[in-house]
Amino acid sequence: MTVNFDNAATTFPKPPAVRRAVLQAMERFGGNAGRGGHTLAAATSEALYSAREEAGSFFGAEPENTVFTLNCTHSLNLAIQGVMADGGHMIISSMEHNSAARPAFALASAGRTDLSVAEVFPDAERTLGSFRSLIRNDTKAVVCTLASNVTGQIMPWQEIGALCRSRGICFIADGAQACGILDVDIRDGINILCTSGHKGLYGITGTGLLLSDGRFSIRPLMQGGTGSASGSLEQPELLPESLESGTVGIIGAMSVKAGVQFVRSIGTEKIRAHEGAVCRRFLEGLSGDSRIRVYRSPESRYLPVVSFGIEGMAPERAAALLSEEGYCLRAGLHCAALAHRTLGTPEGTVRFSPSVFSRQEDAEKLARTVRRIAAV
Amino acid sequence: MDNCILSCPSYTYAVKAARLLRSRGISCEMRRSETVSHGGCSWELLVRHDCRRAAVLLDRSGIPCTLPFREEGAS
Repeated sequence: MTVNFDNAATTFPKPPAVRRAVLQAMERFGGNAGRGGHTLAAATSEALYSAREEAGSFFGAEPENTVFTLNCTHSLNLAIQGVMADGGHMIISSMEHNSAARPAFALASAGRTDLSVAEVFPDAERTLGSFRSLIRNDTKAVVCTLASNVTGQIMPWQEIGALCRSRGICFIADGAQACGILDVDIRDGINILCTSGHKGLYGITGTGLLLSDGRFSIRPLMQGGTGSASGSLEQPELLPESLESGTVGIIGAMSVKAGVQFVRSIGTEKIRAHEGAVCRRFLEGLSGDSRIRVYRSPESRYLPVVSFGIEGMAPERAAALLSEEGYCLRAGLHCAALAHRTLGTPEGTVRFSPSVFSRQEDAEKLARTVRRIAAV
Repeated sequence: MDNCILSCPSYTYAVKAARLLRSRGISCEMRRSETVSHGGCSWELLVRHDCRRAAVLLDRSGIPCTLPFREEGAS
């Protein structure tokens, strides 16, 4: 028996429709999208465009502003380094994943930008105040996750977006954990939305998206073949090709298209309700045990993710014991050093993250297993 | 007849333009450019009628498919 409660890392299993889309892409789309006009290339190009339309429209973006990437880290690097290419000041939150924090710190360490870290509090208004207090005349970008990958805490991203808009600042949002669960639309104040394709969107690994509202220029990190303006040695400036040098992975793109259709067919509200119920069952199962600490505050709103720790036991040890019992949970720092500093958890936590396929009875059994391990 | 060729900078914009024009009743055919005079590896739309209307519509929609050349024999 293997029960996956590590869906915040990547969802598994994938929906049957996604598996079929992958197979169909292997069988039908054997050309190189945007390259050449022959029938195979044309079919592949059409398929890729349809994937852009599906994914883009789900987040309120135009197809030409929908860029396929390798993962959310890739998207965030494109956005952060691309927007900050000419320097300036940027602000990130204290709950960022390394995918945002590392490129931001790398730019600052190289002396190319100034960086401020806005402290995140359980109270959304205080968090918003952190960002507001750090804005300067030369602030170019604010980078904030929509929801923490460690605790699931939902950030006041619409308010941050409104603040950025009022000051002409580019708001880059990390939607890796939130997309497919929350209702995310870039027209709600996001200038550039970065997300993975393989988490809440149920595509395969090796997929990500960058969705832009087209207001801010993004200087490419990579130059190369784009299937357009090939006579020029200058990289084309138009999205999406400017950020998609080299062959786009059509199989991954089609998996994301099928995944988005899957999420649409159920609806994010139902997905949230289902996963929320699984989380509640897990939390109810843990409640009353003083040896187990859950990292949640009544002042905050959360995605269906639960971070917890067991008194006197390293998180990695707890996860290893749970793995022996058939439960897959991720422990440690979750590639989010800043977030764990903010939480005061230098050894990390154990993270429980269900998907739409998770069952409440499995969450209840897991909670009983956690209590048993804690009692040893 | 008002036929023309609109040059598009990429496949993505060519599809977007073609869909917009067709949705407004303007007939067009998408194809690879036969020459590299537009920068190479570009796409073009052969618009059968309403060329001026097509160009204006695309311009207003922010779609960078432009009207560099008239097709030979077009009026």
